[in-house]
Amino acid sequence: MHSALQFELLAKCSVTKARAANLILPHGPVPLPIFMPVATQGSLKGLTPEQLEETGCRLCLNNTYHLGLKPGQETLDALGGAHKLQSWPHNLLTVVTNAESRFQMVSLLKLAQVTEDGVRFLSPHDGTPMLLTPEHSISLQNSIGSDIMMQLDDVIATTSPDLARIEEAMWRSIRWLDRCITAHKKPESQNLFCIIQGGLDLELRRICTEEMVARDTPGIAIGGLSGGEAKDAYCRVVDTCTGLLPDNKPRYVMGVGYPEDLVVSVALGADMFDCVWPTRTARFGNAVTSAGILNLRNAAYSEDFSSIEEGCTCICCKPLSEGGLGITRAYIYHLAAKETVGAHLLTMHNVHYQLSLMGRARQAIMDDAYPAFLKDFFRRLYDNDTSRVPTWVVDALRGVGVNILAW
Amino acid sequence: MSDPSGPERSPDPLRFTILAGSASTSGPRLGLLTHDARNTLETPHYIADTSRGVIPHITQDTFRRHTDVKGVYVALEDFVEKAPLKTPPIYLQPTTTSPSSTLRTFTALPDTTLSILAPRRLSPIPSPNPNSSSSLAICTSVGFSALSIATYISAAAPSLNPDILVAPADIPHGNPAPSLKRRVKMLDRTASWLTDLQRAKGRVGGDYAVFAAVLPLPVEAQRWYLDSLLDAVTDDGHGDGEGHALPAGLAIYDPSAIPALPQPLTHLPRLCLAPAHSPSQLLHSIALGADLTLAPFLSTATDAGIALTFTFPAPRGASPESKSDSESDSQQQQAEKHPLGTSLWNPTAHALSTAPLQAGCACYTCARHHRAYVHHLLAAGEMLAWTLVQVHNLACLEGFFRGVRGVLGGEGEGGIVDGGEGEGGMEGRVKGRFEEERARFEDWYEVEMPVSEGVRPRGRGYMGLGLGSADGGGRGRGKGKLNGGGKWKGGGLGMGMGMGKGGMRRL
Ligand SMILES: [Zn+2]
Ligand SMILES: [Zn+2]
Repeated sequence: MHSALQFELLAKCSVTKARAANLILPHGPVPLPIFMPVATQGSLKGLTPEQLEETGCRLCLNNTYHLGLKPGQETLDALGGAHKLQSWPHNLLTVVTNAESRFQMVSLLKLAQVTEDGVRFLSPHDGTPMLLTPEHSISLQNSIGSDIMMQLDDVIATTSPDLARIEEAMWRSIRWLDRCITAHKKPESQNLFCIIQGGLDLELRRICTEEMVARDTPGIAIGGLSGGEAKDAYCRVVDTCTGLLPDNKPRYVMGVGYPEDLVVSVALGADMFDCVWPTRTARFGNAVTSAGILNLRNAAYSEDFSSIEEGCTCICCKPLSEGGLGITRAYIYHLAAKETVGAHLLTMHNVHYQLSLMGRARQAIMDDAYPAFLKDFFRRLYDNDTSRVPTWVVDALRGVGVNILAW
Repeated sequence: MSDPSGPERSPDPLRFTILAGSASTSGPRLGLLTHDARNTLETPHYIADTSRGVIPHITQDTFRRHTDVKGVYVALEDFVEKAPLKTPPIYLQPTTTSPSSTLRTFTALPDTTLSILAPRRLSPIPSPNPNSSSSLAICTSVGFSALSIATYISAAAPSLNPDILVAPADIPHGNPAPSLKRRVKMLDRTASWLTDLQRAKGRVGGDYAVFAAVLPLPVEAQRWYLDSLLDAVTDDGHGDGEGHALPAGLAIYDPSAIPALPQPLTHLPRLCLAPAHSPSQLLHSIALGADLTLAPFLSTATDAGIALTFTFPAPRGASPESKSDSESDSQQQQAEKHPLGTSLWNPTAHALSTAPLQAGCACYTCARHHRAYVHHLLAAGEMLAWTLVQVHNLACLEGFFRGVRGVLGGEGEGGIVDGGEGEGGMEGRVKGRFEEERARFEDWYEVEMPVSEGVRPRGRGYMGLGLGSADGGGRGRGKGKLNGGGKWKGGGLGMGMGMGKGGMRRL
């Protein structure tokens, strides 16, 4: 099908399946692998678009379902789309439902049904019945004008024991992709990505991958994950899917954002990730750092006058002498939960951390040094203690030729 | 004005010069507050109020990039939750700034911004406990407490080292009419605390300038205290480090005291700490001779989703009078007054508007965004809404003060007026023009802020205490009405979802 992007594969790791690439989208190029922050309703947790830009972000998420409710399709049409709504000159990717609303919908499925028509459910806001069809999801995304739009899929929790239902959902997602492709009015300016389903069943995932690849969408997502499944099962699904995917298309694993998940998934051959966690967790005073998560609401930090992360180049952590703000852990502690500015500052740091982690991974892949990067990452994260490295990480990386315990 | 008392002491880094309007008579005046290390403030000037060291909703990078705030007011009660059990972390902050100020480093305040430290927030929450002879009753984010005067004084130098330190004042907040006995106590304590402060400064040093309180009492009732501020000077008794210099400025809790101030105090810069709830109250203080003022209505408007749109001088053109030529009904004229701002919650007015928040405004919000986006953010409960409105509201207020200074500087009448004494005609003309514009402003604009139908953001930590609610962290829900007093009516502090009004659309 028509594509509004260019994918330039720059390097492949000689040991793992990691790739470095440039993805050239209608609103500019983005480097892969990439983490995409989630601005569900058209803003990222109090950050101005300018501040988001400053973290290095050139591609962020909006949510079709939420923008469809507010400001609504008419408003989006009148304003000329979501870029104009939020004055964001860079790229947007719209998920139809993100992890959050996906699980809302999953839990609401008890009250509503998925039919061949679409998903019928009750509005989580006011209980009115709503029907979301593949055609309407595309129409909304055409109004939004996102650079990457996602198909409507039938999502089943990976933890569901009902294999028949999982298979039904997989086939339905394929049929819905066909309806989405037919409904897509702007293939020359917006890229539609398919979403591979099939739960944790590798055979279903294989079938689905083949079917999806045959439809030749500009990019390919692996969906239905990060819903509480075991990490080793997650890794097997990603590894299986990427093994069947063509080299020349971007691969997006939906809903993934913990740093260790990112670096392992990159080793398994995935390129793009999104997650609300790094930004949502800022509100609770959590700082993402190379040494793990620091909860700056802990009184232990009240007199810690070091930066959020030593050596971090985000605007908060950079010292005044280098044009930064010189924000300390103690000051975040002072603001935490009392002034929203504290959360805004931490959000900037966390997004910057995620983006720079992917930037460093990319550089390592280009230098063909990704295994060393992985070892360094886990050594810092677990403070040189190999016994703390989770089994799923050891196994997943061994599967792509890296013995992470040998550092 | 440079130090009138003369003796050999390293010159204060803070100096105040009156450019127009006179020191000898009351009334509006144009001045220049200069500091060796900070921004120069042309006065009258706006001082931004902070909460826990930040202007609400404004991160430090946005502050630098997108505001023109030149001075901030910081309350120590925002920083001393665990005192005296534990030393407040802000005292311990290592600092490399020069002059060294832990306050500046801790709150990441830019080097150029003038800092003003006071013990209490601008509209202090009255404590159930009274002040004592050696401490102030304060309200921290975790509850009521006491701040000892000795602690406040010793924290000022060498650690906090603000540019301006507001001297502690014994004001019984929540009791607007203290008894005679209480008044005597107020004066005694405030005078002795000031002496303590001046002595400590003489002993320990410190680069801060002391602003002495002018209490919220009639001037006659505090005459001996005000005279005592002068005694020290005439005594010339500070050679031994025991005496005290004239304060560098005055912190005035009720601007109506200004016209009756003793003559030798009139050349001092005046920081007006009466909370202004509307621009016309600001104009009132300025008319009496306030040099620096705060405007708590700014954040209240922002929290209510109201973009301020007033200007000074008020726009010319289709004035209320000319519009109502045909029907010269005074009620009609009343109805045609212009709003001070616009509630961005209003979907019919703003949902599709790509106009800036205020026509012609060059602030970041107006330059890059439009009303439709801010409306959407409010309706969606997104925190960025308040940031964008706050950036604009700060710009609106800066513009207002620029306008005030323009009029006082004789703008449109051939440039800045020379502050030549004896030129009563010139002074009179400026004052007359200011009063004229002030009257036109009041004619043109409504008195009260527009009503907002929205939901305000999460309350500040201390807000719950003042509203007598156990839940200070919830979102107010429903129809908050913002009146002249800046209080919210109608909205409780429930744990609503932050959804605005307006029906949901079907997908
Ligand atoms: Zn940082
Ligand atoms: Zn503006």
